[in-house]
Amino acid sequence: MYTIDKKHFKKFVENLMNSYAVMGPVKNVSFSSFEKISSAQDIDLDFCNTPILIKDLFLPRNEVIFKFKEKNKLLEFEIPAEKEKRLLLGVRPCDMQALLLLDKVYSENPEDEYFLTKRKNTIIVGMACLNPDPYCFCTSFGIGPSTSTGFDLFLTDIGDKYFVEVLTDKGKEILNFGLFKKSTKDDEKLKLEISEKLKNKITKTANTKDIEKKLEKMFNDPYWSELSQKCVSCSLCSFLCPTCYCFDVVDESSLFGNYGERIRCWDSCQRKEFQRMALDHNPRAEKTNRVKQRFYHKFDYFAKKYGVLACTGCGRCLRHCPVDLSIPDVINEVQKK
Amino acid sequence: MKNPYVPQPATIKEVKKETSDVVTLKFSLDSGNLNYKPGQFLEVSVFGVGEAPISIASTPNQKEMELSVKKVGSVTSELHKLSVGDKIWIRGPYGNGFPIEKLRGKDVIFVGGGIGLPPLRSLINYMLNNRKDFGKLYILYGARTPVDLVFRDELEVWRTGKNVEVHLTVDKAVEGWTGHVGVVPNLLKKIKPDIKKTYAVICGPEIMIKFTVKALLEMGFPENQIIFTLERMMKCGIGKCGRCNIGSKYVCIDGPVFSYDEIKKEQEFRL
Amino acid sequence: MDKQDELRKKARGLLESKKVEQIIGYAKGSNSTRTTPKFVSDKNKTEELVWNSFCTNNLTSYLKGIKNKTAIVVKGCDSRALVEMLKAKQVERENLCIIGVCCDGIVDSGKLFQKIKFDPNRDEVKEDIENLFIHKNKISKKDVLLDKCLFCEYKIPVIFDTLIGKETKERIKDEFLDVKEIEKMSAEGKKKFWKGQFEKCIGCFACRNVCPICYCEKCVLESRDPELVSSDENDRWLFHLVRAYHTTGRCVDCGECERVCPVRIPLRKLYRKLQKDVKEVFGYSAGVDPEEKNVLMDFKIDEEP
Repeated sequence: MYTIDKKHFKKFVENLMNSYAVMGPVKNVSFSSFEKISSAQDIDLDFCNTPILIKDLFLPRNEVIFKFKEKNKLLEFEIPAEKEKRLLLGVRPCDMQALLLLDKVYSENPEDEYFLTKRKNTIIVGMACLNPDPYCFCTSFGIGPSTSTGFDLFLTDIGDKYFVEVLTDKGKEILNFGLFKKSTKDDEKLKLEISEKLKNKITKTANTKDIEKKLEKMFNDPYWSELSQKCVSCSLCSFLCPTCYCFDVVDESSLFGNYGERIRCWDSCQRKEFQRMALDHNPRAEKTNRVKQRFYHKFDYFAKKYGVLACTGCGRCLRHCPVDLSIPDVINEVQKK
Repeated sequence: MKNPYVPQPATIKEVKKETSDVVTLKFSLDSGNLNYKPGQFLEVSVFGVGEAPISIASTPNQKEMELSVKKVGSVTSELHKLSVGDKIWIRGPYGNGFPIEKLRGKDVIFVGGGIGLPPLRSLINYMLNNRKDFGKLYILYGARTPVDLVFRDELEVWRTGKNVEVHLTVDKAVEGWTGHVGVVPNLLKKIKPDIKKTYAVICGPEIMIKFTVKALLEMGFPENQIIFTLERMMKCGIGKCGRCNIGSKYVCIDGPVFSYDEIKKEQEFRL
Repeated sequence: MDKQDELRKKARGLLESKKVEQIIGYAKGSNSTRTTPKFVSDKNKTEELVWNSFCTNNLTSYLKGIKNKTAIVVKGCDSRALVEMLKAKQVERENLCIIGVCCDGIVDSGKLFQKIKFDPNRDEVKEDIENLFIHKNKISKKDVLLDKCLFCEYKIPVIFDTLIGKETKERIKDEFLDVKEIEKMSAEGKKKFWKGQFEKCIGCFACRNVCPICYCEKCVLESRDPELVSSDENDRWLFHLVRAYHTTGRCVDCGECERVCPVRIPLRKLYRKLQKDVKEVFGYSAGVDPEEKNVLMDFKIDEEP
């Protein structure tokens, strides 16, 4: 374990920029988003988590799967090559845990090379979250504002320096880019204290113990139809959720179809048309069934298949839901039943 | 890594018009062969329009593959315009296929409705090609009207098979039809299976499947001896896009073939 | 009796007398700065209804196609949306019992968090007519109101069957200053401004889904079944500009679109530009009189072209 003085941080970033496409939180007028930085100055670490997800960097909002072109009565394919070596700086634990969940889905056979190549070509440097907001509930999932699992390198602000945890070989490489010192016993003690303090800053909690069992028992409970009355199926929760991975595949082509692209784009099970088939048969036409699907997929089905709940408590759904449909509150209400 | 999203080309060898809105395409891959099982499906591409999942209607030992396509949307409409020599683009085979091992030595009741017959045909022909491995076959099939019945010729050939019973029905009779009139599940009343050693395999509109399952349960069929294929809207076909799920099961990888005792566990599935 | 008590009493009475089958109002939300839409059909549950400075939602969007007798709680801005829905026959007047509430303005929780450090998961927010009280601090409401409430000309709902509270403040005339600021820009400046905004758009369609007057069953912007694809930046412009024009003359500036936008695009500036134009050209504001015909859907025989 190491430390780096804050006064050396800017140089560290500048050095990184020489070898990688560095992406960090950049302050837009009213919020921060992960963007490629053009100077170390651009990075703004004073944020909770970004509304625009780093998920977008691995499973883009719109992604060309392949381009097709008719040439001499044959179809040619062009699959976009993913070569850029990127480094993400300042990622929060909630978003990293979410990425680990997506890893499980996309590395299952058959592997999704679009996602996996991007993962392979990206180094992720995390930063402990100093200012969780009232909507964060990450501690309900066994993680906290300074959980370093899954990162290549993880930084915790301990005053005039950052405490640095090296977790992978990729992370070890990064040490060469800055003035890192071995950490002292005092540094380590301070880091532990701060980590505890940060955990206590999270005041929204969801009791997730044995939630799958609880949910199984109440599939037909009228609670769901009552809850879903206020949902407006806007699908904002899915679009902002770092663990949501549903996508649609659409072809866009020239007028005569002889050249074009097959694109995949984010989609949401909350939209009415999501499961609509030909001849208008729609198993989830009822809003209640769609709202239920969100909860059951994240807290029951995904857990059964992959052994972990598909939520990391990042709080975005709760922060932005137009009707205040709160996942943690629903989980707590389900537990009481 | 082989990219599972990129289709491969095949060439159409024969186009057979089955009914006014169903066409059977016979084709072979431009390179290589597909190892598939009865009950699996292919994702068929029409570039610029999209993809559609279509069950394989041919049997693995056949030289060429066959798909029966019903015209219900934009992709299938384009597929209906194909002729001999045209290219067809496919991905697959996907899905779990029928549990043939479970059916060895058993009698099998096939219950098909409308466009549900093609995937059953794949299994029926497989069984007829390996006749001694399977017991009595009952083929119960129906469609809305006589002209909507697919594989008419083949049904008559099956009828002549050893230890095979074929019963047909239509929802609405027309002049000249002397056969049974009524919904497909009613055909169950015409047969006397030995339930202890019989499995039922059902394919067709979901509502027909549900009524058939209910009738079979009433007859005393155990839940694990009732097998059917389910459909959901699909996009990737490989369990990544999250669309075709019924509870925790994905129709594209855990299905499309399910046994009733298995899918019953998904509370989202209700008879 | 304060407005909340009055509201609960009224609601209970309506359910007891079976005048309505359900009431759509607000209930306590996930923290002390939030309320959430509430559907009450049990007269013993009317105590769950609340009225406070956090009753942000425009509940009228739930009325689309409603068939049973419903009572709905509306603020001034919401009532204007309701007028437009009635004009468009999205809901039958006979099915409604409109509970109008005189509103002193809704608090912007973002502004509140900037002004005072507190934990809405643990700390209560109390209020009186002028102020909020958190811990021992007193915060003047007018310092933390939503932008749209700073220039509200409709503090009393324009349509109601029963009114809760009474107007306590004067109206401040809306001078469309936010729109004028952009009008002053050059064409290049305007393009740059909006480009910067639309670039942020993630195409979630939330602004359209919460809008009470976006009631098309099949939205033209989703007509390519489904068209959530926009690898082309121009599609973002297209979506917002088409929606702005489709709602011209009907948008009542309830502000829900801007409130729900996760990337904080100042959508009201766009929609209010069209409202300003309609006001200047036709002397018309939407959502005021249910008998008035929509200015862009009507013409006079003797009108000059």
